[in-house]
Amino acid sequence: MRISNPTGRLQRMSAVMLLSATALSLAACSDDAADPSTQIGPNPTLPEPQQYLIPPMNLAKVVGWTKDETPTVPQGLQIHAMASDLSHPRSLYTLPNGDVLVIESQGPGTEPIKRPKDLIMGFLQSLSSSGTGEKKPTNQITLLRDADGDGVPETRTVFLDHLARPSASPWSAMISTSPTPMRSSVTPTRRERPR
Amino acid sequence: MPNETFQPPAVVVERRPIHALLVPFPIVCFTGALLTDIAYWRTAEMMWADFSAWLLTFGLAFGVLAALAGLFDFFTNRLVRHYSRGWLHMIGNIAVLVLSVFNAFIHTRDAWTSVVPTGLTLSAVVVVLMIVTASIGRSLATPELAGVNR
Repeated sequence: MRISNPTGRLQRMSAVMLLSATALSLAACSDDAADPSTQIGPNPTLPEPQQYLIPPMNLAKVVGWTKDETPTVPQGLQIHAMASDLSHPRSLYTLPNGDVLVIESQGPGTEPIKRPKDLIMGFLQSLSSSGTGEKKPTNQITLLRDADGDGVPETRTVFLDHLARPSASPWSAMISTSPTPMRSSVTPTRRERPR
Repeated sequence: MPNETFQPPAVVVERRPIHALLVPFPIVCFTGALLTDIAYWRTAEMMWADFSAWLLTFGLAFGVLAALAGLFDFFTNRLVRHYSRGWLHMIGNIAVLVLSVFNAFIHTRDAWTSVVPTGLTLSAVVVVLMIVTASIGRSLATPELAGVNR
């Protein structure tokens, strides 16, 4: 069995996110978590809105993987990186023939700047984005083919590129929509701020 | 207030304050921010709150330049420092800048509370304060004072 490095990373990332979500919800409910009856019905107890002078900023630190660091796998299994140097890989899809599609996706950076805060927010968010520094092509789908099953893909090709924030979709849908971009995960048509 | 003995100028040098060139920018921007704040208060249209944030930002950018020029004028002109009005003008305008920094931070909040009531109040206070300091500054810029260097 092969476990590729990006998968482990994604799983670890989602585990971390789940954990922090739990911690957040625990912190939020710590006042009256014991009494669910205050949270249902026509007049639930809502937390007081908090105002701030300086916007709260909590940036995640980019950790990444060191050279030979791998996720820990159960005994009897091995883990090798099938591919590295990917740019913002977000999802994986294994095709019926064993090929692996790596969906690399990043915001295109074309969101309108509506107020000064957006400039500062964009800068700060770019600090907590992985792969700062060199600009590699992203918003594409990379195909890894490991025909002989030794864990090292023989071919690595860009399957689709020039996409707009591709998300994980059934491969049949991707092929049917080629070469036009797949659906964008966020459609900027809402008038109000999505916050 | 300084109590140094004032000697009549030996040589009168024509000199206009440098900061007078720059102060119109923050004055217009901060006044405009009050107007767009009122517009947002009445309409709840986000566009007006965004306008206010931009006006405050650019007003602060030019305001800092005007303040540097104004401090230069202030500390190179002993006659202006001699008058308590000069000190009032200086301190009042720095208060305008400090309040506007707070106002800009208030305007980074989202939607209604970015303007009503704190942002709107601060914008109005800043405009009133600017009227006061500008009239003091105007009274300083009499021919007796304006063109005199020491």
